[in-house]
Amino acid sequence: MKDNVATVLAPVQISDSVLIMYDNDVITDVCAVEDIAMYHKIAIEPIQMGANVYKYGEAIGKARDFIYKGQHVHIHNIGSLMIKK
Amino acid sequence: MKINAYRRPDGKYGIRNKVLILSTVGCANEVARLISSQMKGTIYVPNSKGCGQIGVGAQIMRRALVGLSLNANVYGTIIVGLGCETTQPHEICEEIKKKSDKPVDVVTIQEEGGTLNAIQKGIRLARQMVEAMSGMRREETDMSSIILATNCGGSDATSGISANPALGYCSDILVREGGTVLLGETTEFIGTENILAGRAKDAGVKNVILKIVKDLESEFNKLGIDIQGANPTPGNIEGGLSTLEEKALGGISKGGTSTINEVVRYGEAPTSRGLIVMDTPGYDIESVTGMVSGGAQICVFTTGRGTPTGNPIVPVIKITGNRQTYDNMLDNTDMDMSSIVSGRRSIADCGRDIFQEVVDVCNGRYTKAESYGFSDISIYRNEEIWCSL
Repeated sequence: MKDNVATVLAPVQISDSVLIMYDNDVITDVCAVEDIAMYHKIAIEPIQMGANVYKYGEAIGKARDFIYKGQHVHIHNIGSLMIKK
Repeated sequence: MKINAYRRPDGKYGIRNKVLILSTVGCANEVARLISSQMKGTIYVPNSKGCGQIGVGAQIMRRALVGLSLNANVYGTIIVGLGCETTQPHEICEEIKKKSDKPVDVVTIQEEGGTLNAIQKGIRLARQMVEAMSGMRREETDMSSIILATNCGGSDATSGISANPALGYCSDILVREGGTVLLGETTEFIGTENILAGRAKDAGVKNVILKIVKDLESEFNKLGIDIQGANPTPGNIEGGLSTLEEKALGGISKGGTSTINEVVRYGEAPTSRGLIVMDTPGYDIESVTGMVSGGAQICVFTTGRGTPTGNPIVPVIKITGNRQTYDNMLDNTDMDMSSIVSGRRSIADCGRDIFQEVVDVCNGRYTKAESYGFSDISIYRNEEIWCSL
C-alpha cells in the first residue's frame, strides 16, 4: 500500500494509539502526537518536506513542512500539486 | 453471473419492460402525460425544452431523445409532439428506426387536430404496444449485458471514504464480469484529470479526458469562476478534505480502478465495454438522464445527505455511508455503508453487497424510489442565450 496518511473514523486525542486498517486487516498502529478531528487525516509514516502525500494510492498533495508520524495532516501542512496558494 | 432480462430486437437486454411516452417539446407534455396516465405499463418523459434550441443544445436534445428510446429497458416508444418544434417528432422517429427495430410511433397535436384527438390516438397506439409487450418473458443472459450508471449527490465527509469506494469495488466486479460502467460528472474530475488520463486505454482516450476537463475549466474561466480556487469548500475543509485532488479522488472512486476504454459525449452510447467516461454536468438528474440515454439499464447513486431521486426508465439504488442519513431517510435510502466508517466491515465486503443488490434489482426487485414511482428526468441544456439577464 502506497498511502502515507489514513482517515480517522473517530475523534482522536493526543497520545491515543490509532489502529490503521486496510481492507479488513490492521496493518500498523500509530501514536497520535496531537488531537485530530473525525474524518481528518493522520500521518502513518514521517513525510519529508516537499514529498507527495498519498491517499487512495494516489498523490493528493505535497508536504509543505516535515510531517511527523502521528501528526494531523491538513491544509496547514500540505498543499495541492495543481494550485499554488 | 447469470440474470434474467428482456431481449430486444437489437440484441440488448432490458431489466425492465416499459412503453415510453416521449414528449419532444414542452408544449406536448400535457398530452403525453394524459396518454401515459390512461395506460398501465407506460412511462411518461416530459420535455423541459425541445424548441427554441440551437447548435450544440439542439444536437444534445435530439441525441438524448433518441438515446432514451433506444434504452434496453424500453420495449417501444410513442413520440408525442406538437408538430412545429425544433426537435421534429417524425425525424426523431426515423432516427430511432434507423438504429433499432423496436416499435415506435408518432402522434402530433397539430396533425391530429387538437389535444383530444391526439390523446385518443396516443392511447390507442399505446394500448396496442402495451398488449404486445405484456406477452414478453425474461430470458437468461449475464451481467456482461449490463451498463451501470454511477452518480453521486449531496456528498458529505463519509462519501469519499465509504459509499464511493465501495461502489468502485462493485464497478470493478462488473467490469471483470464483462459489463460496462459509466463514470460522469466532469466538474468533479477537475484535479484528477491526470490520474484519470493515466488510466486511459490509449493516447486517444487520454487526450479526450484531458480535453473535456480543460474545455470545462475554460468555460468556467469565461464566466469568471475559479473552480480550482473554490475547492475544496470551507465545509469540505472542516470535514477533513485538504486539497482539490483529495476531494475529486473521493468522487471518481465510484468508477473503480479499471482501464478507461472510451470517452463518450453526453447521452451517447459507448461502443466499448468496461469503464467508460461520459461527459456529464454536475447536476445529478441531468447526469443520470445522460447515462440512461447512453444505454445504462440501472444506476447506483451514492449520497451523504440523502436524496429521494429516482428515474422513470432505470431503477436507482441509493447508498450512503452516513448512518444518521440512513436512519433519517430510511424510506428513500436502499443501502447502509456506515459499517465501513465504523470500521466493522471492509470496502471490499460492502462492494460485494452492492454488486449482489445490483444483480437482484436487475432480476426485477424494486428499489425504494422505483416503488414510489419517482421519475426524475431532465435532459441537459446549454446555450441559454435567448434573453438578457
